[in-house]
Amino acid sequence: MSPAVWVAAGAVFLGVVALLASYNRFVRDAQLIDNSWSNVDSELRRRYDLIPNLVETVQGYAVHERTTFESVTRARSQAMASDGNAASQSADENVLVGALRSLLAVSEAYPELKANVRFAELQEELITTENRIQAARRIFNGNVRDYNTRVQSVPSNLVARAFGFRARTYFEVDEAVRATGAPHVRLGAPGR
Amino acid sequence: MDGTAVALLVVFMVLGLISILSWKRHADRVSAFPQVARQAGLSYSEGDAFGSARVAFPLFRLGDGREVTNTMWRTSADGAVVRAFDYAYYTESRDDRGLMGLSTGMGLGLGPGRERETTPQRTYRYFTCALAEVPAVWPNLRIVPQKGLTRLVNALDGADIHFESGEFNRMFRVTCEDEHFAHAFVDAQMIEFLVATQGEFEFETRGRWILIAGKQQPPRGFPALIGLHDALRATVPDLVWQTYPQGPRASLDGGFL
Repeated sequence: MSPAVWVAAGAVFLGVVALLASYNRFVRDAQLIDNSWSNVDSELRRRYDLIPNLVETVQGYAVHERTTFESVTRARSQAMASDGNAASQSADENVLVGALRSLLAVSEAYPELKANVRFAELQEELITTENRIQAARRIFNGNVRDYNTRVQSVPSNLVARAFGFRARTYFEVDEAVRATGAPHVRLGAPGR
Repeated sequence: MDGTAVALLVVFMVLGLISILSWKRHADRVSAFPQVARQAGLSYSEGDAFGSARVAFPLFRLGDGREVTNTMWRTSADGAVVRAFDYAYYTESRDDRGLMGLSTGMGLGLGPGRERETTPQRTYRYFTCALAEVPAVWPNLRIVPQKGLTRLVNALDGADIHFESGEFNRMFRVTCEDEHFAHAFVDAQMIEFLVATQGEFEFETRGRWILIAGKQQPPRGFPALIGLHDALRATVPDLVWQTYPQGPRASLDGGFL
């Protein structure tokens, strides 16, 4: 065989290896996104579980706020029934967050409720859950960002197009209560 | 004076200057410790006030001439005595007619005959560590930064545990004797915390101890490193505290090394 054939065969071989590597990386990244989404989902469920107790506690003090309770309950049911797609889940969660904020605002008008230990504990739990949701959300979005970059970059976009890997949607949701945000770590410059 | 003599003189002068600057830098660093500790409200000892390197972390078993110096410490809000200290050790390479060999660190060398013929060269390694005891007993978990070629080699052996963050998986190699513990310990918030350290430190749990180790820090980095250890312990998920056995803190000799 002539050297040209060897070179051509080598180029084809390298091309196939690169194609396989790129395809496998898309599969791996997509799985990573699904895994991180399941973490977001379980944190959201933790918040759904908290809401009935929160509503019940507030109801004990603010019986006249029926509209608020109903909107929270409705938003919770709607969010729980969401199809698990990041875009639709974002919309449903934001409705729930709005309703939750209204519920927490009610406590401002009822000093006895604000002083209630159970209510304070639930609020604390809500903050913890909010922090966990936001951390899981940031990780999910980080994975989506990496994946989408590859879907849109040359030459991996050719593999994405050929095998149907499409850009994913970010999960954006407001905070029901003020979360602590992503950590920042800064030390002095290293010595020798 | 001929050209060679002048060149030699210049070389000696440059070497001398480098030595003096290096010595001065070291002296300045050492003299800054008491003041930094005082300003930060920390206790300080020039030596190893706690026998810190006796805890059985792999880092404290490497090389020879292991030495702990410049220990700063305080009792944190959760009751943990957190100490930050310089740690150094050396490895010896032996140049024997072009052959190089590493010291085993256990006095075994390459055989007595060969050792007599060789000239050992010492390579020193310097770290700053933060160490504290927790009221629990945890499996050995190592979270080690990885870059470039190391990452490639690590990927090939397949021993590391993967988590839900691509960025975290690229930045760190995680190994643990108990994978369930690793997944409980490294939750989403812990991932964010560790990623925020930008791969500058290694994190490890072993028995009752948590170690953070990184490049040698300037004195003002010590209080910050103690703060980092506090933040790390505060980020440990509730699930870990609830699931793994708890108990009172033990002394270094408490049998949980």
